[in-house]
Amino acid sequence: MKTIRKYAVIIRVSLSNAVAYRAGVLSGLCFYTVFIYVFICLWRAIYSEGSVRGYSYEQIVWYLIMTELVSFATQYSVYHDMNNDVKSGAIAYLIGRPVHYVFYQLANALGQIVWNLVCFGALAAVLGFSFVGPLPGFRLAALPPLLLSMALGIFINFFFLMMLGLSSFIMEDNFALFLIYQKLVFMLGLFLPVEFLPDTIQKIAKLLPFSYVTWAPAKLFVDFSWPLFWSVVPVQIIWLAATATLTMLCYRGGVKKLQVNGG
Amino acid sequence: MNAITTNALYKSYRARVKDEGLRASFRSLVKPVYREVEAVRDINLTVDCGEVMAFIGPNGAGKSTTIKMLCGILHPSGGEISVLGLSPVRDRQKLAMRIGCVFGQKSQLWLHLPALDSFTLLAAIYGIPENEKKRRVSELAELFGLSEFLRTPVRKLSLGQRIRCEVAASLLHEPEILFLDEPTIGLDVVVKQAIRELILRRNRENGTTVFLTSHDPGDIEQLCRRAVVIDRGTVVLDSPVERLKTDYLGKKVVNVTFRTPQASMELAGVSFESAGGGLKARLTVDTSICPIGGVIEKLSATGEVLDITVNNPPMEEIITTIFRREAAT
Repeated sequence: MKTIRKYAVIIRVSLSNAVAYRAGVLSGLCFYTVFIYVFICLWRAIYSEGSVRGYSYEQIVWYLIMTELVSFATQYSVYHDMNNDVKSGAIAYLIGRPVHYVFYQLANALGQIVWNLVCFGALAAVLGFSFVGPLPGFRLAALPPLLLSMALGIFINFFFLMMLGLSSFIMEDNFALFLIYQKLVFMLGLFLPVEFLPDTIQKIAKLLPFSYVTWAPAKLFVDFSWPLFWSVVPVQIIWLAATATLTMLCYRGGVKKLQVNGG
Repeated sequence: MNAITTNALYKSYRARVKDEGLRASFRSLVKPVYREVEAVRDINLTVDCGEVMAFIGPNGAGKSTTIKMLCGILHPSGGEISVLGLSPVRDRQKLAMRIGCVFGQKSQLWLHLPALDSFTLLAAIYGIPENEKKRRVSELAELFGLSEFLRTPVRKLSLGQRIRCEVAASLLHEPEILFLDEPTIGLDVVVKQAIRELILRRNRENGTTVFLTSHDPGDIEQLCRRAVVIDRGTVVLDSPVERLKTDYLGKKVVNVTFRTPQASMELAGVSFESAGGGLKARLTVDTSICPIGGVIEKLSATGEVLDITVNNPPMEEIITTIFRREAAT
């Protein structure tokens, strides 16, 4: 009970911290709007001649709104935080506390994500309804499984970023790894539905974890069915378990090799 | 009872080295070269419960590395450590409940939030019940004079106010040992003095053991009863501060500016170095032979004094003197 309270307070303080960044949230909302608008224009031009790979125009716009929502909501990057902690030496404070560093960062990230989801979620709904109207065929009953898939995607993303952050325990410069990860998530679901990729790459993409960050929840959102749910959510759970286990192993190994900079 | 014991404590790490120039950068890219750095070498240390101990040395001597090993943040490469009967490596979380740390150059507070929010977070982390937290926060706020800025975002506080909050934050869970790593760095004289008094009060009233590293001889003179000097990872001297005061800290540096050039000044226990064509002078005073008051009187009699400052000799100078004397004995 005490442990739950401990992490609940971390989430609450992180949420207060996120709310304190008003200018940051406002600029993020503006950027999100511009981003969505530019891509809607692009998709409108592409869709002037009919549907593409089973996605209608309305579906692709809502798909984009959904993937970008997950992306913007998780823009708080544990990777940058951890890199800064290690490089500035501030990690000394966090490691020397009766709290698990990985779970502390998770709770810290959750506070930010909750706030971002509220802000960007509201804007996403407004933009979607304004540009293309309601999503055809969407039922409220699909909301709980959709939220589950979204949460799984956010957690997979968190543990990947955490692993990349942990690599700073042993690597002097790990930015290249972060860029590779970011581009893989972007190309395998965030920018384009996986179905738009050539067949061979599609098959490979569905075997890799990167598509399960944004493609899986967005696909469920625009084209919900229980068979689709059962084909993506268990895979998300497996990837979540794998990334979480790897993160814990990396942390255990990394903390032994830690060198704290700056005095 | 011993609060801290170390036996042959050793820590080394690999650091990448690279020669100057573009060619060396490419060579380092293909074939990086590392060198083994021995940060701490065979440190044997015992600190009693309730003791206030200074752990001093020049930059890169291994002070912070030792503190971080004692707190369980860094893993030693060899040797043994026992802090409050626990192993910092194996029992890090248990130990964390009983120790507090202040790293003067780093912050544990949330920059965009008031210190009160950070206190709430720390109270939850250390499992302090709400009522008890309120009592301790109000006690610390009174002791450290935090009340007027406790609700101000930390980024808007002065350095002195922030450090007071940092020390208070480290005491919230009433630790048995307080590790202070350069807590007065960058502070002005008045705030330094306030921080020192607060630390001493905590030690007197709660019996908190204090393990302090500092570059400021004033911290050591006023806070500690014992000083351990380390250089290049090894203990050079372990002595009562009283002895250190007579042998090494008893010197003061007086910088003086005259209206008209002065070639020299003769006074027992004082060495006079003239600069700026005789308009400025640096005097090293052995206060056991000649008190500072006598030096100022003599200076005033020598010529018209425009400006005068009295300082402790820099820590590096003290360490060099200690090093020379210890090598000679």
